[in-house]
Amino acid sequence: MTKFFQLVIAGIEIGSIYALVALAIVIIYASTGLKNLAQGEMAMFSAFIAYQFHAWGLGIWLALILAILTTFVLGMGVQQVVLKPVQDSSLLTVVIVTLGLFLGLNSVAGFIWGYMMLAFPAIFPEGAVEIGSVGISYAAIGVFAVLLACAGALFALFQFTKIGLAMRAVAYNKETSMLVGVQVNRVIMVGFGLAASLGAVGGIFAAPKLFLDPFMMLTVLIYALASAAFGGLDSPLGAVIAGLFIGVIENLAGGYIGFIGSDLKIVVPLVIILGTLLFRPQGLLGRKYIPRV
Amino acid sequence: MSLLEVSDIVVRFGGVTALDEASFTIDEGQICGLIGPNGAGKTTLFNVISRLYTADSGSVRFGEHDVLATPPHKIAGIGIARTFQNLGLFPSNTVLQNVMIGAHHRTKTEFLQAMFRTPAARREERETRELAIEILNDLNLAHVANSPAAGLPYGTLKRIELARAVAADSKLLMLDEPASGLTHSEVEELGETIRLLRDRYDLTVLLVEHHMAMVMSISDKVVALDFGRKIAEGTPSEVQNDPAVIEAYLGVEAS
Amino acid sequence: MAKTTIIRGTSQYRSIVTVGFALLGLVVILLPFVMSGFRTFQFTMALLWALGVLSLNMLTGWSGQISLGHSALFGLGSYTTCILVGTYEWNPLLTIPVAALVTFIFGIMIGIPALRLAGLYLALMTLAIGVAFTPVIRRFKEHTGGSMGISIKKKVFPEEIVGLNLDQYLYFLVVIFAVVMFALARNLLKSRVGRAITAMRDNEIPAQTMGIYPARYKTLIFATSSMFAGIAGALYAFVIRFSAPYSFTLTLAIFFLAGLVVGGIGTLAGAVLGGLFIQFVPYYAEEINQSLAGMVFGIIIIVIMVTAPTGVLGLIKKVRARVVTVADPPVVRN
Repeated sequence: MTKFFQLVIAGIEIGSIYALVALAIVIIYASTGLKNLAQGEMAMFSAFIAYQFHAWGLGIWLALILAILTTFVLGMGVQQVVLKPVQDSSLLTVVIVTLGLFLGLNSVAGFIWGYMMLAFPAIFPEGAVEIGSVGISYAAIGVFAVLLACAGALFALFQFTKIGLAMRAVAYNKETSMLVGVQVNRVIMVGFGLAASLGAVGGIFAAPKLFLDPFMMLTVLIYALASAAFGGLDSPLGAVIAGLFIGVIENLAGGYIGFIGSDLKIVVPLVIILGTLLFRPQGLLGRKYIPRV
Repeated sequence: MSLLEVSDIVVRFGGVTALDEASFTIDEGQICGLIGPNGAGKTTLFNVISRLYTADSGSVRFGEHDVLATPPHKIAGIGIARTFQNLGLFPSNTVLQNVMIGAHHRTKTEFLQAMFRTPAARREERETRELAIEILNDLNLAHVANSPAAGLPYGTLKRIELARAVAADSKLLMLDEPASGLTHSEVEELGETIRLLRDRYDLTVLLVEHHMAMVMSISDKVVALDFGRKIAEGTPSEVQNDPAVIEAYLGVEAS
Repeated sequence: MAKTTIIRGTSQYRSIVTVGFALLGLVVILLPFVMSGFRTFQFTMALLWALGVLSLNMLTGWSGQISLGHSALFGLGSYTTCILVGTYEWNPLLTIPVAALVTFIFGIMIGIPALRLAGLYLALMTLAIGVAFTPVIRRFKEHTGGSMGISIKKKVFPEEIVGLNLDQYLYFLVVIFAVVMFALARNLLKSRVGRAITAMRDNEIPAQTMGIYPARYKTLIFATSSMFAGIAGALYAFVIRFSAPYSFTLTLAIFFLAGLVVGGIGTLAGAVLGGLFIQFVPYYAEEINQSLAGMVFGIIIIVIMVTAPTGVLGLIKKVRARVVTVADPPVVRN
């Protein structure tokens, strides 16, 4: 039983990261219909920025807050320069452009920081809380708490602020929002900055565990996309639940099914994507879409 | 025996009943006008016969075929072709290609024959092409044959869609508002074209149209729907003078 | 400048095309005798990438289905050849049909669930396949050699074949395959099947009412495209004589997509331009900096998609249209 709980806790820890990146994907999708395949690479880039601030001598918490703020600005810039021109284009165009962004960010990170793995400083203190024979590391508790805080803040933003209301309006219907005076372009821009920051949180908190290199977020992206699809592409709550769920399932499958081991864990999200799409295409909590003839 | 027999078709979307036991028949060679106010269920009926929508109950018989038991991609094969209210063309293909695609179900070339251009595949390609050219000429479209369908004037696109439906060599041609968006003179021409095509290609035509003058002038028979129910059926003049039809259109009780 | 008009199908048009192809053929034949072995090898590789781009084009360009998993299909073809030749000592040429069959079947296996997936989800699923390929190959290391990869010994190829050295032989082998595969693809596109596939991409519901069965055509074009990628991968194994999991990552899938975009989506000649692009741009960029290739690719993809979605071929056609008009003959009844 100890093994089981240990795996579940590890699953929640990594699942929190998936959930954060999935949240970023869902926010952008809900407000613009864009699926940003570069979300993971943007998060990776933010982790490097945090690393850089820390390397310049800032404390780790200050470094990561500055990195998240920087990412907010960069995210808005990326939206204005790269994605705005193709926002209403065909899916193929959007996929290709976000992959271009993916490749570009990946290479720029490699150019600046190299391809060697860098150790990222620990954010939370070493050690663990012991409950019976199960040890829960402070890092696991910390990351989970960060996820809850982010999700809570996001909820409050959507429910209680004017910009949140505008975002929901744009997500619901762009044209109508424009007609009632919502500055759609600005709302989308802020939404992008916000999503990029959420992804940044995911990337930065993943960094001590995964180590820093330009490819660190590649598999996280797949898990996050699977979480977004599974939870429902337009449902933030779904993304959080699905991210945690996938993290746990992946760890249990890797831990208990010998055939899967650590290499084949990646097949787990593949199966989840397929299963979701075949049996419940709108995801757990997504809105059902009915095509018109 | 009638060619098409629609019996007691019911279609519900959630709480809305789009077709409520609609029934009528069309004889071979007839041009049948299907009229009714917006939302009467005309296009829904087309979509049921094309198998794009599933009927909740009722049946559709076409010759000896049970239409509702036929999968959508085999509807063309049993001899039913249609056009779409908002155009259903293939914009990146040329006009000629669009019409050739209309003949898809009557041709056979598959992947391997196509890749290796077998003699049979070449012959079929040539024949399909000649057929399409023939039809384009009939509809005065030869001059645009090699242009992409995207970007041509609306009236021309409507005629292309008609040409494509004719290329299917069907027995029943269903036209969904062919006159919408056309100019006055184009509408007159269209009426003549439909008759010409009927005679030349031995067609039976089911026509949904709001343009009453045209419907009444070319139809052998008219069926009127309102709120998914048939309210009148008969010759154009009978239907035109039917109190229920007048009421449906004018919204007042005819005295 | 006076603009001339050339009508397709006339003897004038035919002679221009014939001369053009003859010149191209001459260049292609002479190239390995004029260039060094290394240059010849580079052009061989460019053609292999062109075949990869062609295979993706058949799927994405023609039928509008997005695949980010073509790196995996290419890799599957390469591994099939490497395993059969390296481990089981087959004659290399005999492995090509096997690679074709394996990838065709794999394509059907992806294509069938893909039927139920709208564009975005298909992109997702194939992305997951592309990313999963490397770990899956590592997992089955008893067959694949794991992270170390699997190689083919050079001696399975004779040192000299009909007077050609190995580089030249491989070059001509790939040229022959490329010519045949491009011709097959062209025939397919310009046939009833090709029209049905593009019609489905343009407007699926009307296509269905014409009697086109979307499930059938989507699955078969997926499988055919996979098979083309697999054959290209098998030929890659001839040329490189090595398969390693890190050769077939998502980056390769993005490179294929980049080649497609740069050359021109949906066009055949564009695939060749795309292949040259994939081979030579990173080669020269990496001389300057290891990361430059990726940056250049990333930026070029974005710029082309935003400013010139028809790619380089589209630009060439625009320039050509300023000098000469190529028109179709008027359509007349016989």
